[in-house]
Amino acid sequence: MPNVGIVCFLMSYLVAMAAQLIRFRSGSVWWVRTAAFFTAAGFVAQTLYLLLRAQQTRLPPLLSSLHDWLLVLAWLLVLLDLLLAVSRWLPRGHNRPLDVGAAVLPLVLAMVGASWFVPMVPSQLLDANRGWKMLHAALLVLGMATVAVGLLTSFVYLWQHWRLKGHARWSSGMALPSLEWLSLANRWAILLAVPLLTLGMLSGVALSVLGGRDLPAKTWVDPVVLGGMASWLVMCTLLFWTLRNENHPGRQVAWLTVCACGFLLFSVVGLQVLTGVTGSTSVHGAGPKPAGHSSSAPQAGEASL
Amino acid sequence: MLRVTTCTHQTTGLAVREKLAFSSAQQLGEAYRALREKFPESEVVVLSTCNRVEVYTAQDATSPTDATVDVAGFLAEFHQVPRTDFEQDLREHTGPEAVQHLFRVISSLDSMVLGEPQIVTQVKDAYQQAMQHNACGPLTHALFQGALRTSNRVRTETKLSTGRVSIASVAVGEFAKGIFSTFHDKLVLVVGAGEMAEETLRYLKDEGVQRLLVINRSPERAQRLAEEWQGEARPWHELGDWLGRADVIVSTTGATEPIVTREVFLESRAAAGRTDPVFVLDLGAPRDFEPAIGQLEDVFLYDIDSLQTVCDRNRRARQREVQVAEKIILDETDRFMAEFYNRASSAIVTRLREDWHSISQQELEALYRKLPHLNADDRDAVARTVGRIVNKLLHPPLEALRDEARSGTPHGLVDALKRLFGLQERP
Repeated sequence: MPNVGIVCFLMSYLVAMAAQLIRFRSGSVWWVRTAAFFTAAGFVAQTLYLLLRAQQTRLPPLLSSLHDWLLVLAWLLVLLDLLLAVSRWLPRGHNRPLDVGAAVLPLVLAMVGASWFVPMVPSQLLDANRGWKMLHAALLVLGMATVAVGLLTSFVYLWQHWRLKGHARWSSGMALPSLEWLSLANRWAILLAVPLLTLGMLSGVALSVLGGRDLPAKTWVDPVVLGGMASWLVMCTLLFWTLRNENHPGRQVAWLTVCACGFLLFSVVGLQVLTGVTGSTSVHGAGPKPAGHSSSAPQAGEASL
Repeated sequence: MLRVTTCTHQTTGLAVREKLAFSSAQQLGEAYRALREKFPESEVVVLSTCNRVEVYTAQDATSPTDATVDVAGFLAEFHQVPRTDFEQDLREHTGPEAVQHLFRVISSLDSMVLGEPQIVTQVKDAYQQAMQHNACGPLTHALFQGALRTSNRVRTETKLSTGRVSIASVAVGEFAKGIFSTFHDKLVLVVGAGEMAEETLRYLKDEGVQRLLVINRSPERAQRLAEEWQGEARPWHELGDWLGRADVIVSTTGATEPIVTREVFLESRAAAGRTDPVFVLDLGAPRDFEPAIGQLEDVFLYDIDSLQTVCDRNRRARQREVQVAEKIILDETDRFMAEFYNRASSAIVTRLREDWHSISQQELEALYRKLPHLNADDRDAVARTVGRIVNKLLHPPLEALRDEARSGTPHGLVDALKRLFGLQERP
């Protein structure tokens, strides 16, 4: 299999992002196609990279390291973007073509960029309870992806609201989803994220009980665990608030979702990245940076594990 | 000879155009039958829309028929309209001008609304109708296929058809659809019964609106509009109540003062317990809704000026594409005419080749009879040499013919070749 590096898909996503920005001005369909092409190319390269990593570490990407964990999260977002982009070529039905790439790609770029700076070394605590760990990681990643979707739909909602209030001049070429669609998608994202994160946390508790002596004593004061619990509480509050009264103004819901989801992404992903970069010990795959680890572009075919 | 006789919105008023139009397929069928009788040697295509009546004819260049007079006479006779009523409004284009005219029409450069897409379907339908009535021939086939190719190029290589340019289409297509993803479950309230409201309703109906209420000071007018659009008329005093419940509000009253103030609107929405987005289209001049209503959260209020701004911007964007479209049309006209002239001269080229090769073949056979000792290889060598001589002799006149064909039908040269080489017309 070929050597695929982070640079391959990072550059593809950067070009796609540039094409998205240019099309704001020009409105030409060629820039939309260029963006879709480079996003798809980056997605293929990223898929290959994750497969190669899984082959080398003999572990699923979710369990391998924080590096892979971030890339899986970014991969899920790109997949979502591509599915929405495909809707442009489907026969016209009730839904309009959706241009959300300009909102998805910055988040994807941030995650791929962050993965560059964190260790690629697999966690040392993977021997026991592998099934539980897989479940724990998968639920959390899916929960995070749903939170990211909530964040994105809220951003796009605010953007679309701003356009419709009479500021559409510079982005008139965009076909953003309707406020109604975004509002519904946002609601579903919150409704799905909370149970996924709850189950993810419960599986983490079960893991710590089952793990016993294998886990470090400071698991419960791990900054990632504490941050995750705090943001989980915030998300639960948001869900409760949303469900209690359906008549909240859409913009208010969007702003609160941006704050809650932003806080959650920062506290879970951000803290993991910080622990990885600073070399702090965490049980969540962000183990200490090994000696000799550099921030030069990692390549799946070359990674020595 | 290609010719088009036109009667369009640019030269003729609606009162005359509607008298000359072919309003149904049956009437058009009768017209084709009459045209075939009147012009049996001609290929004919009739394009009849609300903005134009055009008759495309293609006939042999030697035909003495004066198409303008004949088409005018035909229109007058068929529609029973005195020709003096419209003859001065007819325009005629021939040759490359006729081709260019059709290419401009199908590319929507000649339309009332620049870049409108319906004209392509209308031209396609006209062409198909002509084919169904056996009125087309090789020239009109080539002409209309060239037109469709040109239209395709203009639409893919320019942005002439992008962006909406009518107030109602901008209101629904660019704004209402940005707020709602579906319309079948939305309540539409029409206040007043102006013409603009009807146009907006047409677009909303296309999007699937099912619940429609009409409120007007005149109950009769409200009832008429409601019946026309399968809605329900409500009395004027219920306006405050329905303002609170509606998702889409279209207002076109002739009131001189705003009929809905910010306070009234807020009270109505609060009474109905609604905080979700509402789309308000104020098409009244003066405005029916206080502008301050548009500053309320989740109220999307658009008046004629704000919509007109978007229409003008889209129209300017289309105007910027006109030059590019004109260049494509010129390219395609040149291409079509080159093919047309080549087709005109190709018959004489074929005749000349066939005649000369036939003569050389006869002479070769006579030679072989005189020289029976020649073996097969020798005969082949002689035949190849003679063939080369014939081709070399043919080359200069045929090349001159091709050169001449690039700038028009080479009638003079064709006649000269016929006389010089004794090429008689074949039956």
